[in-house]
Amino acid sequence: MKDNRLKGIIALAVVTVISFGVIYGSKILVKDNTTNGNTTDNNQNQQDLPGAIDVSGAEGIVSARELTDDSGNVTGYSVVSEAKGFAKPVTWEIIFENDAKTIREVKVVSHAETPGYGANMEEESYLNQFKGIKAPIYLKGQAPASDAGSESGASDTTEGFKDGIYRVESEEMDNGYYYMLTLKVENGAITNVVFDGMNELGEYKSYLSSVGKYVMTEDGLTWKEQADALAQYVIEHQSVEGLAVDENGKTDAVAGVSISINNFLELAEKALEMAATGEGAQNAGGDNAPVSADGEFGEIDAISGATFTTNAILELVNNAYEFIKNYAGK
Amino acid sequence: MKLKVADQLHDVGPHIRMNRTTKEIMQDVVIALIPAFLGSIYFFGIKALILVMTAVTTCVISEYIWQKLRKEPLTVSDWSAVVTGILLAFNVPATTPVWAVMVASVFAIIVAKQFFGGIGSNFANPALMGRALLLFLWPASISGYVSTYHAGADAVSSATVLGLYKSGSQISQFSKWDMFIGNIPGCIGETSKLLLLIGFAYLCYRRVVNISTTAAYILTVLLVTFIFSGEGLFKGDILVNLLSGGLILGACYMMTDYASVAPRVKVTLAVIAGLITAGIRLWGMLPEGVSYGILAANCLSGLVDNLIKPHIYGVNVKKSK
Repeated sequence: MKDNRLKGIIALAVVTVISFGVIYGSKILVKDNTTNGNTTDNNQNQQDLPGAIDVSGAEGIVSARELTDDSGNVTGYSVVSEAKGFAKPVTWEIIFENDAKTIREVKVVSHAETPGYGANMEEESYLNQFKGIKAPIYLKGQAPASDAGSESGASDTTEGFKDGIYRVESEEMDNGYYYMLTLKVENGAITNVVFDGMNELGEYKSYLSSVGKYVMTEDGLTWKEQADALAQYVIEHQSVEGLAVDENGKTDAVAGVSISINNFLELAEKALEMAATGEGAQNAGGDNAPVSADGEFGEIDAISGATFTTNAILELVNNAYEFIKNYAGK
Repeated sequence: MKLKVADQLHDVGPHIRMNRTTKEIMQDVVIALIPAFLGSIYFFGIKALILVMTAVTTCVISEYIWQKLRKEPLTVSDWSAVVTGILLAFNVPATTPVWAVMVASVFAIIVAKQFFGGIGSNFANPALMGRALLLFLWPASISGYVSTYHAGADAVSSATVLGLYKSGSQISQFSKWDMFIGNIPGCIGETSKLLLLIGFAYLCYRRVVNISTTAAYILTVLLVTFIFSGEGLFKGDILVNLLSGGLILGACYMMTDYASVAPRVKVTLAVIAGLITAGIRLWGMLPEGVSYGILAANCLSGLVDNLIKPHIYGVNVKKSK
């Protein structure tokens, strides 16, 4: 019996060592063929493929290449583009027709967005809406009425703020969470504010509170509801003045809000300062969204509950369009 | 003198004595789990090592203290608590807090195992009972699945492949090969099917487990999930259901637990566990279902034992000419 066990252990050890060799070999092979360490069929290093386009200096563009038929005619372009999502970069491959404007198809290469929220970008129904539309893209109902735009992404208005999207993040973790705030200005007025926190596992406070994993009180507003109430206050008052806080960072100015709002105030004030000058503005159609030269553009739906992810998608698709438009000279 | 329940159970004969001891069997299971243990450290980092060591240590100490307090014979040296600790840690993700694993370990050993008379008398798999406790009391503590090749809290949060599959999300980012070798998010010990199967082959070689129970459980799950897939009849993805969750871990190391006796009963229980697991995967709230499937079958073992009567000794013997 003992001999039987010894033989078994030796065989087990040998096979285990071989298996680890196989596993490690797989990792090396995959690493050579992936972007950001994720494995998909779509994220091959395009620089090694025929028709590769030099992307050096192009911000947000990972790789690009011309797609050709058997005769060598260019039938389209493939651009792998990335933008910052809620936490990590979101990377997509966007395939354009040979007019460098019409989107043939989009594929998700990699992301680390929250399941049930930003990760819904993988849904076929969401991806299908990109097929056949023309870049640049905007959220439905938010496309510009004219070709007005500026290099910085901020538009001059007669109101107190410059149009655009302003994102700010806390530099240090507070009680296990980083905080971030996005402020959107349209026609000189604040139209949307999103405030959220994220822990070191990449879990968002809004999500955790929505599913009962981050509970404030048994019968009061959830953290997300309180964050939304604070955001609504800023939209209604177009400022944070009046949000007086006590020594614990709490305010009586917004009904139902019992959380400490120091992080919110700090980020909101910073974003409002940026909005006042237009500094760091990203275009309301996405970061540095290009303006359509011919007035044609596409419209897409937002991902419900995932503003950061939606903005990242707008940014990476429009960056890809801008890059390939300049490359193709169209 | 009135016998304890455990003694009554043990005394229902006839029994066949084997040369192999409980200690040898448990040592074999531990040896079989070593490849997957090394794999868990490789894929999920030092946190996997910490969780396994925590669970094993807590299980062993819990058993020792309980038996000392109760003035019962010490069975710590039979290695069964070590097996429970390893399997419990294998059933949680790398982000699980150490305190949660400790609480689950104490519950597994004292409540699920010792309350019912210790090894051989526990009605359900203690490791799965520990996991069930965490799922019930602190679900968030074992919901933080992370991608591989990272270390614990620094890892990238990710849904499991089964979770994505159940929600209808795209899973093409995970190849079948990755699922097989273990390069996917999941509980630390369940992801590498390759390493789990190597250990299982060792157990089969040592005749510690009966492959029919494992096969019956796996085939039932695969058959039902294939037929009644959310994508339509006969459209289930067999490989995803086989490779993406804890089916192999459950089938090879927990469904084969010695909670029941006769081979026919074991296979019947495996089929029942398979039906429940598949039912949870298809129509339940959770994407997995292995732990609850096996626990439910464990609870039904007494009933099935009674329903399936063993042959009367000598009845089926062919008459000699």
